[in-house]
Amino acid sequence: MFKYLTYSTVVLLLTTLPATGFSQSQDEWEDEWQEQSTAWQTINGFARLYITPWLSRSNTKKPQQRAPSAAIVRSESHVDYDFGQLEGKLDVSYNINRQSSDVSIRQLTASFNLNELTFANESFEQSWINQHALSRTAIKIGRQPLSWGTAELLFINDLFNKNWQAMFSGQTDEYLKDAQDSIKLNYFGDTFNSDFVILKSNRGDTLTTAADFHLPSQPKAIHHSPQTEYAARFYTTHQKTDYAIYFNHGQLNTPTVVARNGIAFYPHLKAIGASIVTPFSGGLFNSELATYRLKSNRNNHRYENQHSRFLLGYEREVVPRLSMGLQVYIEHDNIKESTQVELPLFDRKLVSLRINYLSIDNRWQHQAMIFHSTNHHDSYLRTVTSYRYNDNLTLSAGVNVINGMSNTFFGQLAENDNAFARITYFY
Amino acid sequence: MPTFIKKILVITIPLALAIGIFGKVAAAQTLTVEQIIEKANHAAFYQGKDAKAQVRMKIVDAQSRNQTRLFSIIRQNVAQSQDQHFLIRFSKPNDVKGMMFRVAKHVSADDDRWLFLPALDLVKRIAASDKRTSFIGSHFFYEDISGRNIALDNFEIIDSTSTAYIIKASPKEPDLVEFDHYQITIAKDTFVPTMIEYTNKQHKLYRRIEALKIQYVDDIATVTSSKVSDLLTGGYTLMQFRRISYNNDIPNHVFSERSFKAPPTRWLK
Repeated sequence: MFKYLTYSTVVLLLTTLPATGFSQSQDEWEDEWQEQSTAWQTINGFARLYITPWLSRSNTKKPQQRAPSAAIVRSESHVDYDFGQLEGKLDVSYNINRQSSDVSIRQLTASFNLNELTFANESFEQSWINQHALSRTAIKIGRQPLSWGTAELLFINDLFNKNWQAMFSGQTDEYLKDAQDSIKLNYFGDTFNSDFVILKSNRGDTLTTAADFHLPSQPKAIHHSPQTEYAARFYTTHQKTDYAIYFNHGQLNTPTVVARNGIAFYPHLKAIGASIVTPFSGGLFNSELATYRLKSNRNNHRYENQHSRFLLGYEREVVPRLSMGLQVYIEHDNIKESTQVELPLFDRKLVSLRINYLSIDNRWQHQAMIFHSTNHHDSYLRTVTSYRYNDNLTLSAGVNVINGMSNTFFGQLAENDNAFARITYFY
Repeated sequence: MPTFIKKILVITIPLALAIGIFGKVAAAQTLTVEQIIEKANHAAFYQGKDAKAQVRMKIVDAQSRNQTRLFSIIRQNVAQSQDQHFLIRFSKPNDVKGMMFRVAKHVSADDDRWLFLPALDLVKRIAASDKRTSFIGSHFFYEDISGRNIALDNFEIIDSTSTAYIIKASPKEPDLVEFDHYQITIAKDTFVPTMIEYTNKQHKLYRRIEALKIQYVDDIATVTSSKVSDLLTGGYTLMQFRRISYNNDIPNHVFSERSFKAPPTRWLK
């Protein structure tokens, strides 16, 4: 499991771990147990420096050719109450490439677990709330990351906002998702659970832009009118198998409809999908599918597409601490109307292979994942190696290597091969 | 006190003690090795209907570098079964703070495991993996924490002292494990395993787990401090428990995805 608990990065204070003064013969610790409040109510976070030198083949002399690099200081706090949590995460960053600083709220949420709202002198079983439907409800309000679905770095029913810049520039997995201002309501039933999410003024994915990336072409303009969106998931586990169905209503998070006049639009979206995950032959088999109804009707264009996505996946540990994951992914497009619209490549087919290796002491983690489209002939290799020096310090390095024609999903970033190195100090 | 009563006591007390002692020995002698192992397995992993505790680990590697883990753990036994449910929430180190891990342990099948990553609000199903690899970077194996299936080994009593059974365990399928055999010391009064020593296939003692402190919690003998040592490298991990309680009537729904979305703080304190 610790493959997910190890991670991000490297070397600041090599002197933070005085190994002296601890006797192996004693079972006592140097320090007493700290109270719960100190573990959950203090501010913690990390300081990270990362640099991402290009390995690009481009000969153009553009500002983007400078290596994207940044320093980030994260401060976060998490307070537990009997009936919920307050959580806040603040990032202060300095982009060395752009020579600009930024302050962003990564998360600011209040959550209420109504099941725990009992009266002091009343036992849990006797409390009025326990008898009420509200006892099965939890609510989380504010800016928060949102994820669901079963695929790995392929998004079928997870239509929450992604950060494509982070994905292709060597940032940690956490930054692959953008936090969203939303209300999330969970209802826990006897036979299945439900999640309902309302996203206010969804601003869409963070796209790769010419400010940081070499892009073969850019739309003349991107037309975006943020709107309230809705998403729901109903899920259960029955006899070792996880089942879920999903609904989304809003607009696609990327401006995939490009009118002939060069303006890109975010199409309206209605989506329904499903997934299962089940143990199979010592590993995990998963399958996920979804169908989207995408529409974009403006004065200058009309577009309607019944777009479907289907995935089969399997992962298992091959030898101790070495695991592999294989995914087969198919898109199908049924264009119902296309007037004054530039049509991209359709019916994408993709396979991905992931290899993970964890050292015996869990300090080293190596991961390589490659995507290859069998019909669009583009590919993407991402690798990362992490070394956990101690509880505070992590070093990571890896590469993003992209190939393909400029009109393909990955190929449009083919000039952006990069290597990256990260050093993170957790405090 | 009347004299006859004194006489009766003089006669009966030693008799009672003798019967008690011999009775115990007689009872012990009737226990088969399988029964002893079963009782020890229960004493180590199945006490109470449910249990909760806070756990901390100090991991010291061969270069004397320290790491710390701090987490809350709650457990529930499945009625009429050897299966169990676990929920773990990490509070230290800071890079894993808030992560939660849920396990449905099955004796006759692979465990079901889910990990909750709060930074992404993502619940991830985890594939089965070798149970004799590090548990969260410590020298403890996953199997040391959740319990090794006793059906996987053959047992034989090799010694019986006044206070403990010494039992040798040999794997039924040696190719699946890194050890040749291990030796368990089990306290006769509580059936708590107090030491396990592993011998590798080169016949060298290479790993030891020992109970450093045993306390009675809710009248149940409980190991509250233990140590696992890698005898080849010198690395070791200390594990301590606090805030232990048994039979809390933890509801079933706590051991579901619900707890990822609405952490049951009452049980994780």
